[in-house]
Amino acid sequence: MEIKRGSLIDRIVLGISIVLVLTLVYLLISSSFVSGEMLNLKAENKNYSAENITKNSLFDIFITIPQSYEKVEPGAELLTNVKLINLGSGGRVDVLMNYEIKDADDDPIITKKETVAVETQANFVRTFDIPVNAEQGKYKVYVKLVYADGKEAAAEASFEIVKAASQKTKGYFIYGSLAVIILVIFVYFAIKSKLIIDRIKLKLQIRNIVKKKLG
Amino acid sequence: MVSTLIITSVENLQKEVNGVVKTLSVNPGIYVSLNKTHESIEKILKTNKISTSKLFFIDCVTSEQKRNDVLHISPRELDKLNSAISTFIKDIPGKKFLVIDALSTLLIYNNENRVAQFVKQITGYASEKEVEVIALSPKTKGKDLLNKIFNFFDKVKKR
Repeated sequence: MEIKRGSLIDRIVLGISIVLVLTLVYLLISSSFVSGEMLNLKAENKNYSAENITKNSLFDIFITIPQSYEKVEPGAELLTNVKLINLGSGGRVDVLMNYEIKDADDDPIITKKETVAVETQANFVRTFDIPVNAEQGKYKVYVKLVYADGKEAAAEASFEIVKAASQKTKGYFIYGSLAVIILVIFVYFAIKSKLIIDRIKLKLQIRNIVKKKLG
Repeated sequence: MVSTLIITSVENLQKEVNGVVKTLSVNPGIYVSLNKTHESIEKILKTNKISTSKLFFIDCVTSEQKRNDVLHISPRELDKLNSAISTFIKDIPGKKFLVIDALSTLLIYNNENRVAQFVKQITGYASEKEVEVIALSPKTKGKDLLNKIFNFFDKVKKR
């Protein structure tokens, strides 16, 4: 009886153990299956999202020039702040940026291209080296963003190329020196001509005196 | 023509002037007055019965123009004075004389070298023309100047 009782308990324990093991195996198998499914699903989602983002992207672009760079000298650096906002689906998108600096006649003096990755928003600084021989005047920086299916977004900002300070100083110095030289020459000739006129007057006066006295 | 420098005492200066002008007044002359007005000189000369009809005055004392036949030139303007003397010399025909009374007064307004240069120019110009130059100076004044200008004159008389 003891043996039977013992064997019964053993059988119950064995039965429970088998059930537990089977449950564990089931759980393990089922969990791996689910996780595999999830991975596949995620991958699918990712692919789906990328297409979706590209198709549904809607960009807004802004370009601003800090006040201290609104007037630059030839040979100096122009600094701009660029802001991109992806108003469409979220996610990382590569966009092509075209920059152009044009003069008042719309002739480009600088062009630049780059690819930028944007998720929802991007802020960055772009600098441009103004050519040394750039003419003075009003200029514009154009930035065009090209994204999905050739869609575009653009922005512009104005600035001015002014005469270099050193050139200004040089100019002032040259004009100042010329003015001084002209003034000195003028004063010299004024004094000289006054002296000549005085001499002529004196000679005429003496001639009259002599004529009167000596007949 | 002869150029003479007369160095005399202050007291005798006017007496010397009178003597010179009296001797030379047959010819027209230029009188450069550096220490008396032309009115005062004319009065003195007339008092001494010396004719001033042929005298041309350059008054370096006053600037007020009272008569048209008198020139007023500042003693500072040696170039103008030189120009006036040379014009008179050129415009007065024939023999003439030049009296400078008194040379050392120019030192009050000009430096010694400038006065010496002026004297050299006048004596040089006068020697080319028919001009007798008589410059007078008091003994006590401008000894250094007198030493510098001795050589520019043909005669130096110390009295």
